[in-house]
Amino acid sequence: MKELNIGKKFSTDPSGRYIDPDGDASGEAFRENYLRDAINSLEPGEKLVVIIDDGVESYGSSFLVEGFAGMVKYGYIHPKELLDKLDIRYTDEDFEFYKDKIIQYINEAKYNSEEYPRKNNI
Amino acid sequence: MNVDDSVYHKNDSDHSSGVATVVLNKSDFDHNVNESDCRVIESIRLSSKNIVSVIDDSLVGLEEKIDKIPKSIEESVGVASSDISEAVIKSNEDIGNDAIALAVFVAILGAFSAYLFNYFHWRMVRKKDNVNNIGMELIGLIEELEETALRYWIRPYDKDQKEEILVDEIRIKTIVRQIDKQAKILKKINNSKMGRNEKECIEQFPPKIFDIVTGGDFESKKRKSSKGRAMKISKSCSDVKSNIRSIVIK
Repeated sequence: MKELNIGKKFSTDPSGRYIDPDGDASGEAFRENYLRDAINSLEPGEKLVVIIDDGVESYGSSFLVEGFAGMVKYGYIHPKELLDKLDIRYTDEDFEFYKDKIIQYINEAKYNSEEYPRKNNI
Repeated sequence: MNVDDSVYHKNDSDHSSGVATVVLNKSDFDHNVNESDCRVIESIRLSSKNIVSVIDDSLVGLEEKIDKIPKSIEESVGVASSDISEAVIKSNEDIGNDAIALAVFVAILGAFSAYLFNYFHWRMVRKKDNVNNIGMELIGLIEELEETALRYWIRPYDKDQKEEILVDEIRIKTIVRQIDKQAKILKKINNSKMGRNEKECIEQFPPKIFDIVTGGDFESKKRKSSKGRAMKISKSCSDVKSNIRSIVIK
């Protein structure tokens, strides 16, 4: 079981959709530089624990869609497989809202519906 | 003619026995009555005497019996009265104890009923106040979100106003969280009185408004103004506010 603590490893202020122009705290940066690598490094049957409320106050829909649902949209993984590998955790009950939204966005995303510009480089 | 003079009393009567006797004067016998008539009269006199004595005896017996009756009645009544008195006294004691117990029970029951009525009444009042307070607070948050989000989306990103834009972005994300929290509380405390449509509208509002307000190019330097998004925000907020008001005024 591997762990990805967004507030500690990525940013305490995750915001925006794309790296250009929104920077290294964007959803794209999270997906491409952290989440995708962490998912690819899992052993069969292993889960990735994603802690979403440690040092983070809130999220925007743009970040969550790009960061999590982008994995499906760009064809990196199927939605069910991604949900099986993810274990989203929080201690603040208010963050249940964001967990539900992440699951909703992953389920609604269409697999490989868009081509990511850097897809061939990964 | 040997008629006893003592017999000849005229218009006399034995008041003590209450029996009237026929009395004739002696002179009447001397001049008007023959011997056979005297025998008849004598026999009548004897018969009358016997009858009178029988009647007297009977009356005496009757008097004795009559005298005894009141005594037995008195005795019976006395015994009965005594029994009744005892019974009444006992009953009164029993009834007195029962009545006190009943009165105490009724008083306790009344007090308990009053307590229960008070308890549920004030509980309902408190609940109603809570619903009103949370509902009004929720409406206030929605109005604040609407105002901030409209201002944010009606204008494009402007680097000269990046501090104000950042403040709006932070405010929008914080208010959406607060709205989700308050909506859950409102649903929890007023679940039984909310209609299906009201429940769905309030439940679905936070995730829906989150998608509209923080979707697209939210927090992006490439963000353009979006009149369509502003319209969606305004409509969603108005719909949910009217729903919450209908719950609050119920």
